[in-house]
Amino acid sequence: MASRKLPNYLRTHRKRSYLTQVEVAYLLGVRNGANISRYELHRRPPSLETAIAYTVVFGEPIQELLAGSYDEIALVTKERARRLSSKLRQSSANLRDARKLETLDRIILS
Amino acid sequence: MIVVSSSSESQSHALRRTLSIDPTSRGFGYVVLEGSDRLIDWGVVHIRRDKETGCLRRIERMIDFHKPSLVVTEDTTGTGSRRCKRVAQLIEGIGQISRQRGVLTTQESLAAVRRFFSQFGLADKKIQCIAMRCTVIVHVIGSQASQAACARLERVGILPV
Repeated sequence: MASRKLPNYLRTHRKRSYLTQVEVAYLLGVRNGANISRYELHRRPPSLETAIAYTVVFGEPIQELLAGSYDEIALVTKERARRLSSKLRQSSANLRDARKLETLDRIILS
Repeated sequence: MIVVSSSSESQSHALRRTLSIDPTSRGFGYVVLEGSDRLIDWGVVHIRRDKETGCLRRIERMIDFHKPSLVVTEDTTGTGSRRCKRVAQLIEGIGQISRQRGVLTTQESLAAVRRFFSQFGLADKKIQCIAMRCTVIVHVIGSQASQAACARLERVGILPV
């Protein structure tokens, strides 16, 4: 089987902190523990508000908590940047386009 | 035979996940390790009715979720093993599920696990039985990293101090 990162490591961090799903639900302001289970099993993505609350609760960045999802989104974004970059290179180059290309190169190389 | 990989080998398999399963009288215990020393999931599952089917279903779900590259179970024919027929069949079932999903499987005898953990001072029989649930460590971690992993397992309560 593939050895890619898991979509998220929410369960790992919750278990390490000895918190129950109900307690995490309370801390995140989520209705009940069942929602926490859905996030952990990647059946439902957490909202932006919940994701930020997760980083506060576990003290880990979003790249670590939602590692697999982050990598997936980063890959798609880089692909879009690559496409936009090649489109810009075909058109006439001016100072503004040069700045845009700098930004796009940074995204692609990150 | 216990295979302990070198640290460079462990690094090359940075995201290799290993699932170790140890059936119990009520269900099973499990440990999931990512790379050489990162414990990502652990626990004991109790199944109330229809233990065999229930256990296999849960293990199937676990394999599908964690997508391990290696599943480790006990070698019931090995020295020191006194597992009943039901557990032996369950372990065989785990092997089948893993093979269906193209996951490598390996088995370790209880004696081999005891020998391995005794070098870290875990000589007590009870501790070694609990350590069986952490068989996975034997396969993927070098001896130095194992000490760190044991300390971590103690902290999370899998291995008693």
